[in-house]
Amino acid sequence: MPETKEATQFDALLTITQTINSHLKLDKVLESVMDVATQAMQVEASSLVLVDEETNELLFHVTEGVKAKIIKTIRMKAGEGIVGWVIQEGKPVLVNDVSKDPRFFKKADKKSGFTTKSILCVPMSTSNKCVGAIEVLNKENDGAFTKEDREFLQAIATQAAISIENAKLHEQIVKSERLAAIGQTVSGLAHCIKNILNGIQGGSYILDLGLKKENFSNVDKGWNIVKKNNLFMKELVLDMLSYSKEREPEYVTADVNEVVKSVCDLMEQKGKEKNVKMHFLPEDSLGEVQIDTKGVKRCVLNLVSNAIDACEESTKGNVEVSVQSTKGKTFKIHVSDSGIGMSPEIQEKLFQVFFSTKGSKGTGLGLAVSYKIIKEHGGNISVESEKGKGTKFTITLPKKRKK
Amino acid sequence: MAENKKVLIIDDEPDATAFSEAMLSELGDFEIVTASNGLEGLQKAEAIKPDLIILDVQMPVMNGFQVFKELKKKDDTENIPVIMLTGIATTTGLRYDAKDMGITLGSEPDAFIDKPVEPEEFHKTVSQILGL
Repeated sequence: MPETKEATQFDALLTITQTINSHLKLDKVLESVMDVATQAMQVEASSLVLVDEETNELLFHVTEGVKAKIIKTIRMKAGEGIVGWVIQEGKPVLVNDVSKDPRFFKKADKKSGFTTKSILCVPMSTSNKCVGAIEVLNKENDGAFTKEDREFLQAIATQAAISIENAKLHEQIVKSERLAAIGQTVSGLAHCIKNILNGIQGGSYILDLGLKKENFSNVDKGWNIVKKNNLFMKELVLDMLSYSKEREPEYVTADVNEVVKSVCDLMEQKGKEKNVKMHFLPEDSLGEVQIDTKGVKRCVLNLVSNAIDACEESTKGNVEVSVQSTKGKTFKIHVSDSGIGMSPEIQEKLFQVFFSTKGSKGTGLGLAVSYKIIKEHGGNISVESEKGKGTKFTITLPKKRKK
Repeated sequence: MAENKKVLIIDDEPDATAFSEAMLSELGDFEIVTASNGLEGLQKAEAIKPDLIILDVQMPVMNGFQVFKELKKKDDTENIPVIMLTGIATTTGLRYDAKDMGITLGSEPDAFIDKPVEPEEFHKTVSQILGL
């Protein structure tokens, strides 16, 4: 049984509303809106015209039906043609014989080879301005456009305008969020760099003073401060690069016990300086695994270095680093300390970039980078901590590379 | 000769403390006391009542802003001049304004020196405050 015109148009509006709410990309939404509109209106061709905000030109953003591809390349000036008038005035136009309308833009037909007989064009208006228009050309079987057709097309255009406005709002939100994130990153970095520069400035001042007064212990002291800050700068740049780059881990087959032991060896001196005892407990049954050794080493190094710092205040600091195999497809690396521990508020912010509790000594990048490295492996880092008692970090990693 | 003036340096970074000490040594003989965190600094300020406090902002346990507020609360310490050193960068600019800090802190510190510290600025500020 053939459907009535009203039923077809109702179905079309329903489909359009569903499409608009489907969270597809704007271009896809507009394409399907025009597809449905063209079929429901039974016309030879249709276009969705938008105003280019930079050049003010009229762009045939979506074109359907006969000669659609050529029509899409046409550019018109603001106010030109019937569509230009509709956008400028914000009012619909229904012309069943374009030859009698002086506003009709003949050049478009000449360029496309399409012969326009009748036009129904409605504005796409949002709350404060007209962003474009929808036009349908030549009703099939030489029919004439009616007032009902105009109302139907206006309903579609209003829906399309809402979609466009929402997409623009979303774009603005994303842009301002991105700018805010950049601002935060820049000020975080500036803070780190200023502290390092202060170290270099201080070191060289002390060194100068030592040279001037021939006090060689000051020369030595100043020079060591300069060297240390040079190293901080290098670490900062490396952390920044690891943090900013989207990268795949460089997997190699490795013995985790060796990787973790090498970190403990490296950190032993720091531990001694701060009166912290280091213990390493390997896992003999684990065997070889596939990991990015450089990344995992960097991560364990960050955790062990933090663990030693956390014990700084106590007289009997202990840091224990252990490897543990699980029955499943993963293994764990635990780094625990008997240090100052962390409040739940601090634990929450722990992996945020540029968050640091170490005053001017921390860059706030170490844990953020560690977290990223482990996530890139398809693993996880968890933390248990109690203020005044200590902290335990657990890294869980797959034994074999992520597919 | 009058007694040496007392300066309290509160900074968690030993290298930064050494830098401040070295700069002070160029200005004359001072009795220098140091503290490596805000809480320790506050206790020492109350105990020794220094003529000047050089106060870092980013510190664990108690930061410089908190120390400053506490100093201003007590009769014994509220009139001690404070020079704040900070590497904080805001999103709107690369330095923290004394004015901004006045709003945050209730009153402004006597001076504010941005890191990296320029020795000339440090010398000028300390000399002015201590009347050297």
